[in-house]
Amino acid sequence: MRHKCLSVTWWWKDRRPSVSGSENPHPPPIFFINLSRPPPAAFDIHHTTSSSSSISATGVAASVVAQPASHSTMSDSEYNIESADAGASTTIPMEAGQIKKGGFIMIKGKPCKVLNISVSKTGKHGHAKCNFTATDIFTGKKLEDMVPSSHGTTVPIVNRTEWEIMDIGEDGEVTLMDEAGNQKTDINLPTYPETMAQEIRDAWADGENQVSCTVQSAVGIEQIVAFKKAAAEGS
Amino acid sequence: MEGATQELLQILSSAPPTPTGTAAQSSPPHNLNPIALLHYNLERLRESGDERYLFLRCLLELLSGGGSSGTSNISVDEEERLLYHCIAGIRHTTLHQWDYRTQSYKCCLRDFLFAVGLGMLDNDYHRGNTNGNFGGAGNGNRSRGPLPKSVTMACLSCAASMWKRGWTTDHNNNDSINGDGPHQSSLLEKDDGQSYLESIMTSLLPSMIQFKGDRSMELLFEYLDRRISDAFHASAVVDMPQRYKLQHEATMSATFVKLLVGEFAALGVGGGYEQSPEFHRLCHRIFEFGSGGGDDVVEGQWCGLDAAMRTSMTALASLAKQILDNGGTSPKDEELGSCIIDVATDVLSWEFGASGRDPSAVSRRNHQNDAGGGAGLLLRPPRKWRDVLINPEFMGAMFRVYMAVRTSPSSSSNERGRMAHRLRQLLLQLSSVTGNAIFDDEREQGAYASFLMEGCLNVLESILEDQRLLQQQQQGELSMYLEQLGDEIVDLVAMLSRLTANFKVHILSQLSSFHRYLSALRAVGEWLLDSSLVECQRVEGDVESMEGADWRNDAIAQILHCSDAMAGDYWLASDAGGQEAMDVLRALSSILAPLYGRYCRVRSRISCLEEHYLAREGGTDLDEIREEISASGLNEEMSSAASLGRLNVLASMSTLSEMFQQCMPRLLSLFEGAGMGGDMTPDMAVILEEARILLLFVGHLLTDDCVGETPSIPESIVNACRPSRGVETSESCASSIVTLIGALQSVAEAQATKVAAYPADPRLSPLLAKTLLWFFCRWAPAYILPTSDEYSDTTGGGILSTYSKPEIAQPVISFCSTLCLVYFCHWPQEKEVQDECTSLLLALAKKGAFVRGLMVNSPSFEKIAALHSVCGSLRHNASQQELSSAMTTAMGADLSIDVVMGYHRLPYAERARVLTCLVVACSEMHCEKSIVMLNSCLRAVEAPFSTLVQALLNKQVRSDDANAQESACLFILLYGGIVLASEMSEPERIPHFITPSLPHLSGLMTYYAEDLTICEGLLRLFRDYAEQYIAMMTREQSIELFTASATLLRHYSERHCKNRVIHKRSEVEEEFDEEQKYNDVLCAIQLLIHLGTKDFTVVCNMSTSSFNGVETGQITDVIFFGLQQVLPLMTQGLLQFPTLCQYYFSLVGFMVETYPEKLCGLPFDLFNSLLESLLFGMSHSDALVAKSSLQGLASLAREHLRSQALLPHLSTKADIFDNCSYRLMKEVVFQPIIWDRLEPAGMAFLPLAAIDFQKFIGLVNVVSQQLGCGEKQRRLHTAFEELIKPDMLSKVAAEGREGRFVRLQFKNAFNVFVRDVHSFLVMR
Repeated sequence: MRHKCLSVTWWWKDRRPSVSGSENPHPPPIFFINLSRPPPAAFDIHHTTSSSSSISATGVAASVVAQPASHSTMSDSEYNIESADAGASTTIPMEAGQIKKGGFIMIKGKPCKVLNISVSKTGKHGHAKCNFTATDIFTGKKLEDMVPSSHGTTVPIVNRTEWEIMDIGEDGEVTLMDEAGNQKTDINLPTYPETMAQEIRDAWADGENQVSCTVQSAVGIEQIVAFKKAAAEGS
Repeated sequence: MEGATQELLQILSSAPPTPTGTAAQSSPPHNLNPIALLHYNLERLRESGDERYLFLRCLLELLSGGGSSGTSNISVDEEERLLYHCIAGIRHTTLHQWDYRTQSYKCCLRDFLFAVGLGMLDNDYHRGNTNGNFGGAGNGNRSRGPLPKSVTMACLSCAASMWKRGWTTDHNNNDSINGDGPHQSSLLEKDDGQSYLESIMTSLLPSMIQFKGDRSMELLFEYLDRRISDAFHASAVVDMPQRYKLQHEATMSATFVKLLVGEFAALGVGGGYEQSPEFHRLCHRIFEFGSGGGDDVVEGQWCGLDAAMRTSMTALASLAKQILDNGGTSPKDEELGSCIIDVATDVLSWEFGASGRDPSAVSRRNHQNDAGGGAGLLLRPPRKWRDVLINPEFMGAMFRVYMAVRTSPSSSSNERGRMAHRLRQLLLQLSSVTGNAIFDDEREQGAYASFLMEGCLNVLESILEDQRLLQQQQQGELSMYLEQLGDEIVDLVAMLSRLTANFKVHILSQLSSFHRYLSALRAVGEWLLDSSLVECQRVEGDVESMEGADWRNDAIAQILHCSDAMAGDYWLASDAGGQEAMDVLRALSSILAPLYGRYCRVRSRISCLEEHYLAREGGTDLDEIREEISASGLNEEMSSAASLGRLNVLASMSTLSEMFQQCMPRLLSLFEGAGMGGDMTPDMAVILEEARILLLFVGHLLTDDCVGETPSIPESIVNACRPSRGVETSESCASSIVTLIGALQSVAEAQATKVAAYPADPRLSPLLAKTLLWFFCRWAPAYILPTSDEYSDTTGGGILSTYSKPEIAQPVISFCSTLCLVYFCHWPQEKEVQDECTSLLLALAKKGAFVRGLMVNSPSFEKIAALHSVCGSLRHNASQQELSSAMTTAMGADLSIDVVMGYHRLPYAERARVLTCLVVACSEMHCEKSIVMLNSCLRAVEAPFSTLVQALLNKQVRSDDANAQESACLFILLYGGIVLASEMSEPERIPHFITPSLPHLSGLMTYYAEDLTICEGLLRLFRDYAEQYIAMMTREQSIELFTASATLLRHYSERHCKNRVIHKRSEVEEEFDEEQKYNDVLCAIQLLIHLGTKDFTVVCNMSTSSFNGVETGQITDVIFFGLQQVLPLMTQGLLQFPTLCQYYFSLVGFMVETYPEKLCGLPFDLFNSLLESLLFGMSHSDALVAKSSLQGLASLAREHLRSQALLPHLSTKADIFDNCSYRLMKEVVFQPIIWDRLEPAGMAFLPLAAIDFQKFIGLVNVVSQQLGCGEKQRRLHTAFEELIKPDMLSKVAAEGREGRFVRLQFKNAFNVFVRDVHSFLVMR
């Protein structure tokens, strides 16, 4: 008998190719949801062989994304979720050395994604400097910057939201709708990359297909950056 | 015959014909420029076999002077080029069509080219011989000088190749190798064209010697001997042209011997012979032993190598006599002399015994030579050469000749330099002679070494004397003199180094010249160092423009290598040498060791000058790669120098202490100025650099790195401080170490104190801080409570006990902790410093319970733990209010907000490393304080993580919230840090702690799979956890890991492997994406491999009454699922990464071999991807990859044989197995790479053949038809018939004894088969 957590349907198991090699109609696998278990609020480390020599502690909810809680009970009311202390600003200050590869940075006023960070110094005994190689998240243009590690710089707040395409106008204006049914009509098909607009149109095929897209926003700019065509019914 | 030149020129310049029909695949390139066209046409003509002998006809016409007749009027340069191309063409076509040429023609052509190469054609012309007019071409004769060297060399090279090609036939008439079957020869003897060409060659060059009959090779060498010796009798000839002619012929004869030895020595390189490796090995063997290719070597049998050796030595003796008689050399003598010395060097360099009959031995030997470094430099000549080589007169004469040549006034310095260089190469070869075969005993070795050493020392001393004299003259003359001497000094020092490596200290120390040798090493070393410093001062630190820096550095490296070899000699290091060894050690200590002091001073001064120059020029960023290479070189040099310094520890310590005392006041004064502002000046940089270099000297001298283990105290330091060695000396030695360490601590403290106050001040060098931490990271684990078992001093006294008492060790540990604390809080962004800090803490924590106890008792360490508890889990963008709030929860330590804010700035990865150190250091179970600190640190991670998870679950926070994302990233790193603490005491506690969090960690992939940083971090965390703890996990913990890993991989694959989301990337992004893809895929593969380990499967599979186990099949399913996801990602581009490739094939090989039925059931696309990767892997250069691939292929084929599992796939693509078999044959079995994968290839070959034997036979027919030659086709068919017996095929898939027996039988047969087919299929 299998453990209940392991009742996994391996999709390829029942997927036998037909003579014609057509695709299997079985749906994607259904995995267990691993976050269904309550999170560990406390831990108790025991020496595995000696019960007398054990260490234990009571879990204390600390500040992670919320204001720090003073004890281990984790009721909803204790959380005060904030999107950092940036207020209404579209950027937040950060020390150059704290920016990670894959993170974001403002270079020459443009919101950029960091592709690579190398550390250098002037002279053998100089202090560390960060050399950022990044791309503008909206135009793909390569930008570079050099900042001493301990100096401050600014990081854009980048948001990505998922929408379904409802309509595409002749001039590229797009009507989008999210899961909650909210509509968005203030956005056009992207001009970068050059081919993406046409690819979205082709995928959408005048409403024949269901196409969802990712809208990325930062420093007041919004742009579609990715799209996917939902699987055809029955496939 | 007439007009051959014109015809050839016409062909070479005409546009290539347009191919028709199926020949389109070999269509010529369009729009060829004239040069490309020429080469294309030449190649075409060569490949076509030159049926009309156009190359030879043209050569003969040009040589007879008829080339310029008629309409084609070619220039001298064009004629030279054409001659060269003709000879190259003749070489190619003759070697390739050897079997289709008559024996008589081949001999005639070979001897004709040989004669032309020697210059005999010119002689005939000089004598006014008109027989050269042939075929009516004589009317266009023109007067012409000697043939150009390129042409004569090409002729000799072609003749040498033809001698090699025919050598085996003449020795043993081995038809199978050469294909000169009697029936062929008898047919070809009737070729009229060849007879006609023979007659023309003979008439053109009537004085040509023809070497025929059984003794042709002997005759050849006799002739060459005569030619060379004639030159030394030429002084009696009055007629100058005749004299030069003799010398020229001798030079060309010596060159020919060199070419011949070179041709036969070439085992592994392609020479355009289109012959099997067996042919080349056989030639090598016959040339070396003279036997007919059998295993038995007949004593006294004539062989080419001995003949070449005799020729070269006889010539060398004559050359020596002439030079010594004349007191020098003339330019003509030098050319001949250089050729003779080259022959001797090449003969000595012969790879003895390399012609073994095992083909795989060649690749093994090459591998060993690559890896063995210096081991391949020694020569082991046969005993029969003993009389020649182990001859004092010969050795003495060589050095006398060398002295005469290097001081010869009658020739230019360049020519003199060339010949002297060749002589030094010969002497270097002689220094490398070793082996029991050639030396009877140690006495003989000593005598031999003595000759070489004294000769070498005489030259070196004379050089030193000369430079002393010149130093008193003008500087300009000295530098020019030194420039010329560079190569000579490097060679001479290399010779001494080779002698040291070859004859070892035990033999060398018995020589009367041993002390002289040590003195010379020191004198040369000091002179080189001093002259380097002078040169560096001249260029004011611009080391790039230093003249002679390279050769000086090479020579110094050789001297350090010498001293390192002597200091590390087993005879000296062990007690085996007794009093004798002690005396030698004393000599080394008193004579050679003082060089260390000079080395330190000069090296430090040069570094300071260089730093001054760099700081003065300033402003540019350093090139990271160049710095890394330079640091690696410096590290290697300092390790060698440390061996020298350890020869006299006390003297070396006093030198370093003195240098440090001079540097320290300036350094402390510099630190005092911190906070006063200003930029880094060159003078500041000099002080910092001086201190850094000194630290490196001390670090290397006092500690051995022991990579991968705890650093140790060098045995020589322990011995020097051992009380029994003399109380006074040992005490002063130990106290000098203690004093120096104290001084270093005060420097580190001074800098750290200032860093706390003025972290941005340029006077405070991160590099110096890093070096200080590096020093303590090596020194502290070695010297604090050293493990006495590791040292020969079993008393545990002296330096071994100095830092072993808690009251002495505690302040040192506290000091190290404080240093780290300061740098954590005040230089959080100096990554290199942070890396060293965590390395230091971890090195101490891993040292054992004693040091862990001291660490926990250190207030600074306690503070680090408290800091981690307060802000280790806080995001960088946490507000000050959050920080203050966190501080209120801190227990124990007295923390200021500044310190907390500083530590909070530490990069997440560094925090994780600190956490690893904390967990290991606080892991002692019996210490209450440790337990509290450990709990505090772990709680600081676990509690906020649970809060984050709860918030995500309850949707109190959006997963795309920047703070939540950053927190997730931080926690993954922190858990990763905990996981890496497997070297703690009682590490079983880690799985106990981690297990409850595993589902939540893997659950983060649900939200953040798209973020490559988080995704890769999670995969790495799970991989590390599995890697470190699988062996110690309980069943429940294993099941949790399995479950969490399955979820993780599923979410990972959904985002990264299904490729449904179209996200356009810029080109710049693509460039960096590959590397990232590589890392996360690698982690995923490694995790899958760990999950597939037997321990894990067995533990998961056990069932208890309380908890059901995991079926093995489920684990397999997860691994298979992971493999499926990874398969499409494994592009050829990614497989270029060696590590990734190895792991991928390791996983694939394991799974295919263990669960072939599951792989056969994969959807076709995936199966095809897998198969393609296996086919790609089977011919991979990495043998492990190839073996895994071939085993995988074999398993698939066997599975199909057993259960017809691939029938569904075969209905989609019918030629799956045909393609596999064909590619296996073409890309592996018939290729030279087969030898390191012979067995797995055979095991794949057998079931593939057995699946459908009729189809397989068809495939063999296809392959054999591609061979063209009927004889080869026949041999291939025969070989296959021998290999595959129909009755064998029916039992291929059988289990048990029967199946095993068949496979074993096939394995042996396959070995024979491969050898057989390679003997005629693989061509070089």
